[in-house]
Amino acid sequence: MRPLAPRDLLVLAVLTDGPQHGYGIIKAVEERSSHDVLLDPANLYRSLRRMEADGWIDEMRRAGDDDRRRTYRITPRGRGILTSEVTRLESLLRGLRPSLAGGKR
Amino acid sequence: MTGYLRAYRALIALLPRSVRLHDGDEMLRTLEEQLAHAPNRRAVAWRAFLRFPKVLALEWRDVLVSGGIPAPLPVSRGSHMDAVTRMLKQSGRSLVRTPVFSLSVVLLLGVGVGSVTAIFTVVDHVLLRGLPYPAAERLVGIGDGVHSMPAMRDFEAMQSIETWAGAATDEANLTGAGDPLRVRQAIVTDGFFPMFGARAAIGRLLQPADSRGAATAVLSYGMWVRVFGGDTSVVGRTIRINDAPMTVVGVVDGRFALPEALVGTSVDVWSPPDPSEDYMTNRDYWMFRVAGRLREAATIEQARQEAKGVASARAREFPTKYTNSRGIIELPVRTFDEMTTGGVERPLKVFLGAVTLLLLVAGANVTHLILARGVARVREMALRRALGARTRSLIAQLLVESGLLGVTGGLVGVAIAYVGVRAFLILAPAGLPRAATIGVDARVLLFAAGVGLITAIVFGLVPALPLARGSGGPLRESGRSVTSGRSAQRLRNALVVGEVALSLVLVVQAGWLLRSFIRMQHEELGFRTTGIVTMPMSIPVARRAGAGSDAPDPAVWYQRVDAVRESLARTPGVQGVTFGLTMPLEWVGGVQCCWSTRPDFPGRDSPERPSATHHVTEDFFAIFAIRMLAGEAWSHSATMESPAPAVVSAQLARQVFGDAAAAVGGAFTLDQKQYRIVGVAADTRHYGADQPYGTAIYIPMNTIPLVPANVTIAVRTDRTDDALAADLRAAVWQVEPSVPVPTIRSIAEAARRDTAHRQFDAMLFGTFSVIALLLVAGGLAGTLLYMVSQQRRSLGIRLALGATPRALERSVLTSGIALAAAGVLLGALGAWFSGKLIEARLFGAEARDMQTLAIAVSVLMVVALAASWIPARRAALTNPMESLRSD
Repeated sequence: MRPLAPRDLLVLAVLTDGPQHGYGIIKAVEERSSHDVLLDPANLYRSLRRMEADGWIDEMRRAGDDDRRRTYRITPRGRGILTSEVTRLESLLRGLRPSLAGGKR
Repeated sequence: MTGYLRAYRALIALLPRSVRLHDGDEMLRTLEEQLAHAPNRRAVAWRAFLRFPKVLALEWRDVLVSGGIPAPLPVSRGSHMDAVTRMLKQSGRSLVRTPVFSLSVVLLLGVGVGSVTAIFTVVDHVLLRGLPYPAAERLVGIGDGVHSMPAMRDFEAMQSIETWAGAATDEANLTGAGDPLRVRQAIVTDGFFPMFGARAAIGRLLQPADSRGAATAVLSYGMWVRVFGGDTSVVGRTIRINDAPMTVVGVVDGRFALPEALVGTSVDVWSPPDPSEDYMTNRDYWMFRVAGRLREAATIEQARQEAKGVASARAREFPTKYTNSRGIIELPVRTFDEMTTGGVERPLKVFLGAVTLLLLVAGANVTHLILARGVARVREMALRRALGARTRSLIAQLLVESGLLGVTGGLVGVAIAYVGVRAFLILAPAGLPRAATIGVDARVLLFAAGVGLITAIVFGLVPALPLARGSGGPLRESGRSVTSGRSAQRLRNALVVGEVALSLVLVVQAGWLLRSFIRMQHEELGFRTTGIVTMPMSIPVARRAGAGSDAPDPAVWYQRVDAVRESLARTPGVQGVTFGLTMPLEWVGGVQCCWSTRPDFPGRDSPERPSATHHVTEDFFAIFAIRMLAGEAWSHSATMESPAPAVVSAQLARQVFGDAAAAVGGAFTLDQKQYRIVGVAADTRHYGADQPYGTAIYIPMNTIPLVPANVTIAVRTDRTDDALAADLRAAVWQVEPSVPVPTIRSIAEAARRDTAHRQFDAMLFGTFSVIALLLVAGGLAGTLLYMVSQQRRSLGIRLALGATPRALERSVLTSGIALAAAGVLLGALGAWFSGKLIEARLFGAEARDMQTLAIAVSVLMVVALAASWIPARRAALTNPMESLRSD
């Protein structure tokens, strides 16, 4: 499996908090990344479409919303992907820290 | 929907269908929410725009690949998908590697596309878009100018027209809503609002019942917001228009697009026609502009036939009113579209032609650059061919490169167009129809991208094709064989010749327009233009009580205006005051004001030519310094005599009496009233410097048989201080406290504005020519430089054989001049013939003069000489040893 793009990782992480629609995702990603990752609709929906095709997320409609509004939620498979990716990154960081602490010039 | 969202929607429309259907709406919604919550809308929008192209490319790649197109390439080269991405990357990289080249091409395309797009935007909005009215294609306008109420009823005999609308506009005073205001009032018939599909924002619009004497009014949306603060309780309130009370019944929807051909560009208050007997039956109240809607099955040709019938029938019944020296006054029928844009269609098309020339010159320069770059690329292409690349994929890469350049150039062009349209609208003289809605939108974006792409492909890809086709030969040959081959040099030369020719056309036309402007500025107007200010105003007079007549009393009105005149005359610094229906250089609603009449000279051969009739006071001639060639202006006391005194213009006097002196003492009748000629005034160009010296009659203001809606007061003063306007207003309000004085305009300003459109033409063409000249200089210098670098070896040999540097310099200069001369020859012919197209914009006899042509030719030759000089110097500085060693 190839590493996840930070953007996709953030989107998945946001969806673990509960289903969201497009704008909600953009906002939450912006907040979580402390305004580092600013998404635009075209890229967002391209990511969402791919993740949906891969079975990481699926679409749903919340009761009460008007029917044009579409929300996404994370699937168990997506949760698995996220967990394994976070684990991978953590072990990567663990490997890096000593060398940074060593202060290589 | 905001502009950002519209633009984004246009971008989404470019996505593959499946993507668009699945996510398009959601994307738009998401952006909408982002914009709604963002502190900086622009940043959010531009982020979305700038990131879009990449996604667009990726989406198309996915769709094309998964669309089951069989991969033509062997497996070892990777999938088709990779091939497309690789090509995009490769093209991008290759363009970034040569930043000067890429930037130059993008800028050239940007300038060309930007100019064309700017003018196209204007043309598109003014000429191409359908009018926003129901069944707009069936709307027609009847008759030039204005018609009376009974004349409009004559039209109803026409079977081919199903509904009619008439509109008369005027300035009026609005009181009863705070400070007195001067407003534009439109009097419209029942059919008007339904015909143009107007809706009410609140309340209702006018109904047929209103035309039967209900004093009702409808406000424009702008007026409602500006003056009444958008207060809905305005419905039912009473306002006073020219002192007459009217009940507000509604407000027109803010989106209603005014039918400018009928009512001009602004209306504040709408009201139904006066139902009085006089108004309904008097054929002398020429005031309504008229439009009709054809029946579904009817053609405009039928309407024209019927209008002919109406014109001759009414001429038989009222020969004095509806015939003139040329016979029956016809009733031309035109489409409403034409009626709206008639006057500007030609100039706009001329502008579009001029920018197209500019685009061609810019395109030619792109070709120069591509050819020059080709040298460097021959090796690259040959190498890739040797490594097994196919012609098709090389061509594909060139195509992608051109496409990238074209789209980027198009985008730069949009930015230039955006600024250009603003500048055009600010600088263009007033009077462009439908100007209110002009702006750069999705349609224009698409146009710019398309023009950029086509230009890039025609001027960029086509000349580069030989590279890909491999006529470059095997790898070991140097690059020279392709791009310095004879055919390439011929193409290069042809391009320079073409550029020079096109530029000359632009320069010559700019020259002619400039001369027209200068010539017009020196034109004698025949009256004083300095130290006079004019003030239009309306002084309403209540209707006469009783006596069976319901028209206001002209004598009362005259006294009140005269009181204003006296009050103004007492103002410090004022040397004289006159008033009249209109003053020189004043056009009302785009037409020459004043009653154009045929005076009848008993016992004389009437010139049978309509003369402008100016109602003025006796001081008019002194204040405007119009010379009396014979006799003198009337005295005030004489105006009450019968026959009344009058002054005629010199031209009229000559035509009827032979000379000025003979005219004094002569007599004429006008509208069944007798006049005797007491003086002959020098001819003036009352309506502007490019208007002919028309025949004119001046008659005393107090002989007008009715109360005019407007009067213009002219004040002679040498004061130019800031307090002048305030003093003049104070003087008016001393005697007429509720009369608005909206504008105080100097005649000098009016004279300047009179020449504004010629200045604008000259400036626009001047700008185009300067850009074109710069491009020509660049193209010529580039071509010669390239030629010199290619011939370095032969130049070196010639030097080694004893040629002097001077001789080399001369030979390069000669090549440059020869190319320019060929272009000039071609361009001169082109300029002469294309001059016919702008002839209508030119002014004066011999407007297309040879002198200007000669000057333009010299300008181009000087530019060519200057552009050839640098390459010539370089040739002269060739070092023989170095040049022989290299390459």
